[in-house]
Amino acid sequence: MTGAHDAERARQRLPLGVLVPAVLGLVLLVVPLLALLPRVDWSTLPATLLSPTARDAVWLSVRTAAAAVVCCLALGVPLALLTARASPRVAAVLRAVVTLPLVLPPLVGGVALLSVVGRTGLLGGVLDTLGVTVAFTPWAIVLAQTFVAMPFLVIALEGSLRAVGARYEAVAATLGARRLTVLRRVTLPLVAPGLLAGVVLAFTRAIGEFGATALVAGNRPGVTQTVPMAIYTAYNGTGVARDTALALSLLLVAVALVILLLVPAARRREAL
Amino acid sequence: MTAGDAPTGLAPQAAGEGLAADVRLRRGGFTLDVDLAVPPGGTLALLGPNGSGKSTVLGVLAGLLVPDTGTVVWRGRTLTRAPDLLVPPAERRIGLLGQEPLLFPHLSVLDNVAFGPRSRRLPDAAARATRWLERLGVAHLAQRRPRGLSGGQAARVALARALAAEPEVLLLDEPLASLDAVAAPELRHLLAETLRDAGLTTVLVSHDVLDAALVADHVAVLREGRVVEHGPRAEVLGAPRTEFTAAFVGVNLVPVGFGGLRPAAGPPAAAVARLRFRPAAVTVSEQRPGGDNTWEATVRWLEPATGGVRVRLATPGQPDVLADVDAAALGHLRPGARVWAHVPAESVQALGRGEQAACESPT
Repeated sequence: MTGAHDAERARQRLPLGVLVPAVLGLVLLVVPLLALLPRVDWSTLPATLLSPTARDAVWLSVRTAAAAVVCCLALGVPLALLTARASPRVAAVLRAVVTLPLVLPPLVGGVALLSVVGRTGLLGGVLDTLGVTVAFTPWAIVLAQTFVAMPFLVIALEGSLRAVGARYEAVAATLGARRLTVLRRVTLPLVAPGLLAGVVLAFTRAIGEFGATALVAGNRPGVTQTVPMAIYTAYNGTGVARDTALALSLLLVAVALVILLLVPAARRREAL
Repeated sequence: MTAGDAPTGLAPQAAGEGLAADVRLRRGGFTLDVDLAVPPGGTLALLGPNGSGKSTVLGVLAGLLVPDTGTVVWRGRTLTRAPDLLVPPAERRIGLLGQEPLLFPHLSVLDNVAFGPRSRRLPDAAARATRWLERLGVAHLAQRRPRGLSGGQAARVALARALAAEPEVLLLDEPLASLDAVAAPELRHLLAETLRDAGLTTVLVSHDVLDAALVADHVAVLREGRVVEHGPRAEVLGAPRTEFTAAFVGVNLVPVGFGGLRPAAGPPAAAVARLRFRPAAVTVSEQRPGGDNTWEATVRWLEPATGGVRVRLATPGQPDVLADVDAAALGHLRPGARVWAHVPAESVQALGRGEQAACESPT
């Protein structure tokens, strides 16, 4: 029997004091999601998901979340590079600022965003004279989603950038590659797995965004009613459309689960 | 280097025409203070123990590190004048090959080697890359990913990549350090051959004397951030003038009076400061042999040497002495054993006082 084998067995034999709370934690996370299943009316599920309200909401969510991911990439990749290459003190400050939307209640984010783009907000007047309205339009959804999703992308990417380190970049420079070439041909390809993870996390977070969206974009069916909004309306509004709420909830859970399971598999394949 | 400085073992015009670095840099408790020059087409070996600042020198030459003060000049063009002028690494045409191959994992072997030509916008980048892969005997790996290569293969590809970028100066930072006992000698010869053919100006960092012996025409020995010896290879390696270099190249250097040693020839006795002899000239026996040039010592340790055993002999209050002994003649030599050592007078070289003074004050 090899030493590695022994170590593996030792790892398996966790004390009960660890195992029991671990299983309880899993139960807490999984059981509510499983509890959705028996309540779903499977016979009407396809019809419910294809109803105009549901279709509009899904399509709006997909479009806005995709736009939010593009915004996250355009702003978040440079921000991650800046953080990863900053001096430790500056990096700590940047990281704290970037993490803030992650730990704040999204409602607070919504209030904050409204105080910028709302009619009486910081930029409200300027936007008004330009004839641009952001609040309570689909653009507000993208703004809210970008606000809450960007930390996921920046944090995932910055970790990758630090792990890759500057050694490959130094080699590329001595081979005659200028800074932008190094970034394009060495740095970004090397952090591609981290970037992919960041994009996936940002997309799933954006598509599930509720609190900030509710305040900045409202809940107008067909205009600003995303899937989470539709779920909220269906469940709380008139109370007649619980089936819609359950069906859309199930859809969000399934999409998130598939994405979260597929991405590590894709990364494993890439690593081979 | 200013006009008034004495040349450090090189022709004066060499420094102006070739690569010259006169820099100082402080990082935490470490201070680097070196003045080095390599003539165009020449190869300088930078020797020294770990932490002596060898890699830092390469970083400064490549433009990856900015010194606190000093200059780096290549063929009359100032590349670094601290702290305000720094030509970026990409515009220096100074290649760097490190201990690890650091092949880009997301590119094929061919694309790795073509990276330099593409970055420099040279025509026919892929064809250039293929030619270098062929020269280094790894053309059959062109479509592979770096992940699957052996250490020796990766080192060859890394060398091909460095050369395909067409550098004017090549910096080698222990390129053989990560290779096994079979791959290292192979690549060492390939490296020596390739460097000779390419006619590049080269700085090679190593803690292996063999690398310097095969590849370099000049040698500089670094210790704690300072150059302690600098000159033509044969002079520095063949006749070390500091205890440090002697220990490094495996030659014994002892103060005059050691073990009652007398050289057969040399300057007048009063002018002699140090004595030098090779480990192979020392015989070790358990019984006191007859004759002069014999002293008693303790065996400190034994280590394998080509065709025998290298014995380190300790004498109280004196530097250790190395002796190469036939494995068959080893007898009962064990660490801690009391033995008698002998060197024939004709094997002992005498170093004059002036010589010693010159070498104990570097720069």
